[in-house]
Amino acid sequence: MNIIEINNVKKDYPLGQTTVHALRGIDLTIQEGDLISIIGPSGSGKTTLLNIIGCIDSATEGSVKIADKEITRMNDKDLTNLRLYKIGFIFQTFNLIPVLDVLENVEFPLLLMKQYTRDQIRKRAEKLIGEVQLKEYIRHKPSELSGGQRQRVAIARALVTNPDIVLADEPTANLDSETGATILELMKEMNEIEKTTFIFSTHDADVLKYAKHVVKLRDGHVVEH
Amino acid sequence: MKLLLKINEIKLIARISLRNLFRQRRRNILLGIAIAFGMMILVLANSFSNGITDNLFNRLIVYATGHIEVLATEKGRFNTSITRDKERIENIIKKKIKDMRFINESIVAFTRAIGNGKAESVIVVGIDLSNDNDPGSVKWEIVKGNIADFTNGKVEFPYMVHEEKAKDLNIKIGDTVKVRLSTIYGQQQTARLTLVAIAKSAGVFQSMATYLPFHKLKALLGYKPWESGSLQVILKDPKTSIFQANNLYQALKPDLAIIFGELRSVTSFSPATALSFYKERSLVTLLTNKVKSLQGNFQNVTNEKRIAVSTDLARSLNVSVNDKVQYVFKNKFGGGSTTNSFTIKSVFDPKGVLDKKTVLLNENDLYDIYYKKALPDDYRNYKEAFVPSTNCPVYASLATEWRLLPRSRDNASMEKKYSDLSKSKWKGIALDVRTMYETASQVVQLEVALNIITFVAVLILFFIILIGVVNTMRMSIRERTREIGTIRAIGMQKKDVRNIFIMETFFLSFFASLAGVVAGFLVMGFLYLFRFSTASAMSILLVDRHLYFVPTVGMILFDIIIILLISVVTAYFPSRRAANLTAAQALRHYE
Repeated sequence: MNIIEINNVKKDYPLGQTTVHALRGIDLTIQEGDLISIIGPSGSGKTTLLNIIGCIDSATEGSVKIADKEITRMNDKDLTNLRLYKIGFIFQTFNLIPVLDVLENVEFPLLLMKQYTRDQIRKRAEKLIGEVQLKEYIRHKPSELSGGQRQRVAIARALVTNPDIVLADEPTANLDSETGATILELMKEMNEIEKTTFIFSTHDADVLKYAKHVVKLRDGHVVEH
Repeated sequence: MKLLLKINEIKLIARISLRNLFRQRRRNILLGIAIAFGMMILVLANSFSNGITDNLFNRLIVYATGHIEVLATEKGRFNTSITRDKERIENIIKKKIKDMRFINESIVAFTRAIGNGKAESVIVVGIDLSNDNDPGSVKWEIVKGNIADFTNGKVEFPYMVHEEKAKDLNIKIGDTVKVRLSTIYGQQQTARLTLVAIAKSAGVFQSMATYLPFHKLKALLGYKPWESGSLQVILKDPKTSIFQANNLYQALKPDLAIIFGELRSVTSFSPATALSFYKERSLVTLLTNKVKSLQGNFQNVTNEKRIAVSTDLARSLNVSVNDKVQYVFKNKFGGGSTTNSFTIKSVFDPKGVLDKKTVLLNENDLYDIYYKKALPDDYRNYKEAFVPSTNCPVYASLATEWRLLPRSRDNASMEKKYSDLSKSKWKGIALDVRTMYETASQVVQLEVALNIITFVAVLILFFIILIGVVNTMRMSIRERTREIGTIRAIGMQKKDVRNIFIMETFFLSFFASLAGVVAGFLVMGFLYLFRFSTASAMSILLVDRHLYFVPTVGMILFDIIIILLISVVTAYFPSRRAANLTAAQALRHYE
């Protein structure tokens, strides 16, 4: 079953007097439970494509369907809810909330959902923290963790809502190769355990072995799928 | 359940906001100090202006006027109050006023006192030290002399003054002070007062008062035992003064002035009810249209000592126009009766309008005989007395016991009302109900003016602080733009992002305001340690030689709410701008 359907998506950015064509007509379908790597050189449109799939940026043209819902016509509130309930994010720079500790960072999306009691939230967050092997750091602030540990927290936070899709924009770019490999192993494991669709962007050829499928971008076009 | 989940979300937003406050500690502490300072000034200034008002109203004006004062005057002389039937007015007050502490009878005289080679204008206040309710029965701080001599009867006119006045009059204990008092009837009365005690004064206003025993002063001024000066009501809650005064006003609306007595001719006599008519032309016309004069001319009755009698009375007494008659009635107080002579100028037919045994007087004569010597006995004690109903066709033209003056809005309208009445030809009794807030409306205006000045000054201060708030917010939003992008990407709605920033400002302002209130109280405590001389111009602001502050919970809450409101409104716009950033824009931001 297709979880993502992208048809002729274009994205233009104004840059001073000129316009940058970040995406020039992308057609892409992604299956539920897939683990996809989007690769390409800098400026190929990887982050823009992930942002559009993640509903945090809008396409200039074309159609994007997430779980059978056309998102290009949704308002901000619905898009925010879609992100909350269906999508998890892992960022290159981890982007944890610095004033919250590990447990609170992981609990954060669940609290926004306003569906679970405190006990349910605590239980679910602790389970995910256990799975990313950070139980002993549960009360630590992000500033007290290493890069790899922060990214594990980010993975737990992305998965805690049990989303359909997890988007990871160059998740290993700020990590050493050993830690990066551990993170990708963890994502692969989570993909298998939770059956979550993982899409990660990278320009590191070494990480491709973790992906089930690879999408190659160049100059805003899919050149290989 | 839904509410519980909402509370969890609010707690999350509050937690993030609070922790962010501590994250940017130095910047927020500086801003907090500025807000706390503004709050401290606001609390100090408001407490101070409240203190002045409280000092003037509750420690000074209340002793001069009570919370509510019922003032009765005759012939437009508003500097002399004469309540002719004290008991009756007191009963109405007791019935109508809720939560009253007591009624105080005020006897005061303004005069010039001659001491040892020096003369000074003084206020002589009658005080009753044996009456716990009397404002004078306070714990006097006697500097010289003996307060016991004020009450023990050893001295005919024991006199007490404050230190400042003793110095001004150059008098010491045992010296005589000569005063010339004007009685309520306008006669001059000279008295020699013996100084028995010199007291410390609490402030410049109190030092102006001098004191004589209440009953001595009352007698000197010519009041009879059943009479009094103005009646002052002291309430449990002074704030209800205006409301209660309005209620009392309704209850003090006068009845018709009715006297039941006997009309006597040389040969005969008959019981008769005396009514009176207003001399105003339209009302006289109303009366003469309904009551036909069969002999003489009714217009002549408007002159002094003239009377109109009903045909029945004229017949039974065998009198006619220009005959002399006497009207005699029993006195209400002091026993005995009062006799008044009149000339008949009209014989009227009372049929269908008035009782067959009625006499009609003009209002000037009525008030002369009604109030001058002793009040007439209550007509309700006589079955035969004729009481016109409100449906009586000439009711509007019949004179009432007194004229109740309209309630005043403030001191200026009160003065105008008194001035208008003094200028008018009406010479009867006028009753006025007033509260200390109207009598001393300038104090209220002073408080309002002080509060406005304070508020404007503090607003300027806060304008500067608000620039700080906006600047802090802008820096904070700039530094946390990527964080905003992250929480928006994760799924936080715009309004919640906005609320995080608003709540940060709210918490900062709230804690800073509390600190400001505490600082305000500390400064008040510190200032209280100083004692000032009552001789200085500042003495109006002092109580027991200390600066006087009256902070109130309501005022502090109001100040805190104002500060929170200003801060939150200021924070709203930058917060909204932060919330309106798209997640992609915010995530792309790099410092």
